Amino acid sequence: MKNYLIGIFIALFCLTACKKDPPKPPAPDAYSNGVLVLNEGLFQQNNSSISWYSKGESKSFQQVFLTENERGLGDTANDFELYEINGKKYIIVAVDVSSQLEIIEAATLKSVAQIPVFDGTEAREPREIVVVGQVACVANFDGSVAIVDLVNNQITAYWEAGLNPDGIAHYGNDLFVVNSGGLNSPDYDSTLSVFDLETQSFKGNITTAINCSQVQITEEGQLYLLSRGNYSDVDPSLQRLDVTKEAIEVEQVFDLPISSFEIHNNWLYYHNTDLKAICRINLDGEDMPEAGAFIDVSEFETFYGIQIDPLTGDIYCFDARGYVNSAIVKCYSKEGNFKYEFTAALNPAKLIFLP
Amino acid sequence: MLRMLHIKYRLLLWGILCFFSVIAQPQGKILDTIPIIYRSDDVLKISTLASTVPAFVLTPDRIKDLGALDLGDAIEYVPGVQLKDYGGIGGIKTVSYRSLNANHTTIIQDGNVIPNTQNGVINLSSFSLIGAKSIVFSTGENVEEQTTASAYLQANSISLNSRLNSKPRKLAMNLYSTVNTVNAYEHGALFQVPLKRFFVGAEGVYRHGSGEYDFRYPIAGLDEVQRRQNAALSEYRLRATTGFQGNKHKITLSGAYRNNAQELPGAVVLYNPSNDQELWNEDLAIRANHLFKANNWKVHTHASFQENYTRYYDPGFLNVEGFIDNEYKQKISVGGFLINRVIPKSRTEVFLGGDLLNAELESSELSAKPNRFQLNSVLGFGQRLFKHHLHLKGNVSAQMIEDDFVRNDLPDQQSYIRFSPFVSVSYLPFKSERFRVRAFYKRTFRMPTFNDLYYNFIGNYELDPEEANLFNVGLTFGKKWGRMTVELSADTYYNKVWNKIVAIPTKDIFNWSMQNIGLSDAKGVDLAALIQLKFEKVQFILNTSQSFNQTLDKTKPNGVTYNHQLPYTPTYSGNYGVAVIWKKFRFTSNLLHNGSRYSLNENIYANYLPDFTDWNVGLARSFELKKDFKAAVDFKVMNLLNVNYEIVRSFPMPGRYYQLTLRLER
Repeated sequence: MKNYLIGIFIALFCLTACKKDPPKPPAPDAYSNGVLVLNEGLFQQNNSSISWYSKGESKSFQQVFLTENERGLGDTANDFELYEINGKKYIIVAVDVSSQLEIIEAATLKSVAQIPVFDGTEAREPREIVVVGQVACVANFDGSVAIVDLVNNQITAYWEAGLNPDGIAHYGNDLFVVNSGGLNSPDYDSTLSVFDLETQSFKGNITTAINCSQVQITEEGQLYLLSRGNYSDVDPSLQRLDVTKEAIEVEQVFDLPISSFEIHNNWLYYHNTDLKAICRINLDGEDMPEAGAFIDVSEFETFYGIQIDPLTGDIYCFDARGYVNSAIVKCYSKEGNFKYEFTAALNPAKLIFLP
Repeated sequence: MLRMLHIKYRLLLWGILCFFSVIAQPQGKILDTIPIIYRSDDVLKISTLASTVPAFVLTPDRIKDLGALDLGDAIEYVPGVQLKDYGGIGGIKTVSYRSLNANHTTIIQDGNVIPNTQNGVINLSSFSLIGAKSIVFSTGENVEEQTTASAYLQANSISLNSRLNSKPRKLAMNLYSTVNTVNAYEHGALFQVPLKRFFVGAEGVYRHGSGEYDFRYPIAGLDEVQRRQNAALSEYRLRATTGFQGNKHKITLSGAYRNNAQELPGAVVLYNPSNDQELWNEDLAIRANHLFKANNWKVHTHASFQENYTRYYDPGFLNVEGFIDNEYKQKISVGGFLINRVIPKSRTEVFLGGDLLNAELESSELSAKPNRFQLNSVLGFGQRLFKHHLHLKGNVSAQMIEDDFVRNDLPDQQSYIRFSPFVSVSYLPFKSERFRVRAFYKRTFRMPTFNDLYYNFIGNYELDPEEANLFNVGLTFGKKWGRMTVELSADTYYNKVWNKIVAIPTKDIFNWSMQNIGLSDAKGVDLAALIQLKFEKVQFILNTSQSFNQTLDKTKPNGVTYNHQLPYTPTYSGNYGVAVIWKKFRFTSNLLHNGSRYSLNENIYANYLPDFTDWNVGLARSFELKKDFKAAVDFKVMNLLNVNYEIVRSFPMPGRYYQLTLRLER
C-alpha cells in the first residue's frame, strides 16, 4: 500500500500532458497574382497582420509580415497604400496604436523603414494615407497630417487639421482631410480641412455633417463623404461635394443606412445596413440610388467593408465574423455573382491587388 | 475604424477592472464540536479531506514558502485555479476556477463576504497576507465554520482568516519588510493585545516602488531587453479590530482603510512606449459581528458599511480636453443573521440565514444612477449517518434583487429572483482508513452587475443572470505511517455554463454591449498529493497538484469557434513543491507549469500563447531571540529559469528577480 502510494506520487510528479500546438503558418513562394489583406487586429493585442491570397493556388497565407520580418506589424494597423519609387513597388502601412509608418517592399514584404510618428512622447496615431507622387500624406488621429518623403523615408512636415481625422483624399493639388471628432463624442467635428499641396498651405475648412470618415473623389471632382451620425438620433448619410468649384459646399445629401462605400466605373457601391446588401448609385449626374439589392450579404455575420479591384472590377466584401474571429473575404464578379472566398485574419481594413 | 470601439472597450475595461476594494471585517470563529474523524483527517491541512466538496487550505508556513505577498500569489497553487495576472506590483489579479470566471468566486474575510456590486470582481492583489492565519479555497459550498447567508450563493469561495479576529494568548507582534528586485517594496506591522476578555489589534501595510522591471518581448523582433514603465505604486492599508470573547458571546468591531495611488502600466504596445494612465483608490469599511453560541445553538448577526472611491485618469486621450478623468463612488451596506442548530442525538444540523444589502453607485459613466436592494437567504441542513460514515449536506439559497435606476430621465425598476440548490455527500467506507468518496451538485447564478446593466452605451438593461451547473465526484485519502504522512485528493468535474455575460459588438463595431451569449462545457480532473517525511533532524514536505481541463465553446454549432478550447484555459497545468526543514533552515522550491493557451476563442496560431514554467527557490533561516521573539531571514529567487512569459496577452511578466524578507515575530 505504502509503496503503491509513493508510486502514484512519483507518477503525478512526472505527469505531463500531450500538447497539440498549432503549426507555424507557411510562407508563400512569391507575392504576385493575388491580394494582400491588411488586418487591424484588436486593440492592445499587438496582432495587426497581413494576409496573402494567392489566386494561382486559390489559397490564403496568414501572418506574412511576421514570417518575412520575424517581428509583429504592431497594434491596430489601419491603412496601407501601394506606390512606386524609381520603378520599384513599395507599400506604406499606417499602424495606428503603435504609431509607426512601416515601409515595405511589395515583392518581398520585407520592411525597409519603420518611421515613428510621435509628438515628443505622445503617439500621433497614423490612420489614413494618400500617396501623391513621391509624397505620402498621412492623417493622424491627434489632428495632424504627416508629410512623408517617400524617397528618403522621412517625415518632412506636420500640418494641423481638425479633430481625429479619419479620412484623406486629394484632387489635383488640393488635399482634403476629414475631421471626425470621434474621440470627442458627443461633440463630433463636422469639417473638412483643405490644404494646397503645391504651396503647402492651409486653404480653409468646409462644413459637413458630423462625424465623417470615409472619402473618395471621382475623376470629375465629385467628392463623396460618409457621415456615421452619432449612433443614436443622427443617422448616417452620404454627402456629395463638387471640389472643382471655387466655393465648395455640400451639394447633395443621401439619407441612406450606409456603413461603407466604394466608387468604381461611374457607380458608387455601398453597404446598406437595413437591406443587409450591397446597393448601387449610378453617378451619371443625377445620382439616383438604384432600387433593391445588388449583392445580398445577409448571410455575413459582421459586414466590415467593401473594396473593388480597379483592373478586373471584382467586388470584395469582408465578413469580420464577430470582430474576434478570422475574417472571410468574399469575391463577387462585377455583375454581382459570387466567385470565391478566402480566410484573412482579425478585422480586415484594406486590400492591395498585386498583379 | 476600430477607434470608437477602442474607446468604449477601454472605458469598459477600466469600468470593470478599476474598481476594486480591500475591505476588512471581523468575524467570530469559535471552535465547534467537530467530529473526531474530521479533526484527525486534516493532518497537514493541505486539503480538507473530510469535506464533501473540494477544499484546500494554505497555512502561514506554506504562504511563506511560496514567497506570496498577496492573495493572488498564494491562491494560484490551488489545483484547478487559473490566475489572471497582469504583472507588476500594482497589477490586477483575478482568479478563474474550473473555467468559471472571477464573478463566480466570493471573497470572504473573517467570515464576512466582501461585496462588489459595481463589477462583481475583487482584485486579489489588494489583500496582504501579513496577519493571515489560513486561506481556504472551496468549490460548491463554503466550508468555514462561521459564515453568512451571502457566502452560500456563488460557486467558489476564498476565505481569508486573519489573526486579528480572535483573542491572542499573549501580546502578539509581527513586523516584516520585503524587497523585490523588480523595484517593489513592502513593509508591514501587526500587533495584538489581550485585555482580560477583550482584545484589540491593528495591522498596517505599506507598498511602494517604481515597479519597473526588464523583460524580453520577442514579437518586437528586438534582441535587447525592454523595460516595463509607468508602474509606480504607493499604497497603504490599515486595519484594526477590537473584540470581546466570552463563553457564549463573541463580539468584534473592525475598521479598514486603504489608500492607493498608482500608475497603470497598461498593455505593452509594440513600438509605442508611451503609457501614462493613473489610478487612485480610497476604500473604507466598518464591520460589526456578534456570535452567540450555546446549547447547540449558534447565532451570528452582522452589519457592515463600505465605501469605495476610484478615479481613473488618462492624460493622453485625443479629445478636445486631451484627457479622460472618470470617478466612481460605491456605497454598500449589509446586515444579516445566520442561525445554526445542531441536534446531537440525531447528528443533524440545520441552518437558516438572511442578508439584506443595499448598494449604490455614482459616476458620470453610469448616468442610470443605479441603486440595488438585495436579499440573500439560505436554508440548509447536514446529516451524519452510520456513525459519521455518511455525511449528507444540502441547501437552497436565494438571491432577490431589485434595482432602481434612471432610464431616459425617468425612474425605472427591475428585479431578479434566482434559487440555487446544492446537495452533497461524502462516504467513509472503511472503519480504520481515512478514505472517502464525495460528490456534489450545485446550480449557481452570477447576477448582472451595475457595469453589466447600466454602464453608459455598453450596459444592457435586458441581461439575464449567467447560470452555471456544477458536478463533482472525488476521492480523498489520508494516512500516517510512522515518519510518513500522505494526503491525496482526486476530483473530476463537469461544469456547464450558459447565458454567459460577455461584451460583444452588436449593431456595428461602434456599438458594443453586454449580452447573454455563450454556452460552454468544462470537463476536467484535479489531483493533489502531499507527502510529509519527518526524521529526527530533518523534515521533507513534498506536494503537487495537477489539473486537466477541457472547456469547449458550445455557443453556435455552425460557428467558427464551436468546440474550440476557451481562451486563457490551458488543458494542463500543474505545480510541484518541495520544502526541506533542517534545524533552523528551511529550503523551498516551487515550480508552476502552465500549459499553452489561446488569447481569443479561435484556436489558431495567431492567438496562441505558449506554455511557461515559473520556478521559485528559497532559503530561510530563523533565530530565537529573547522574550519569545523570533526573527527570520528569507531569501528567494523568483523565476529562476528567467523565462519570458505572458499570462495575459500584451502583459509580459518579469524575468528572474530576487526577494529578501526580514521578519520579527512574537
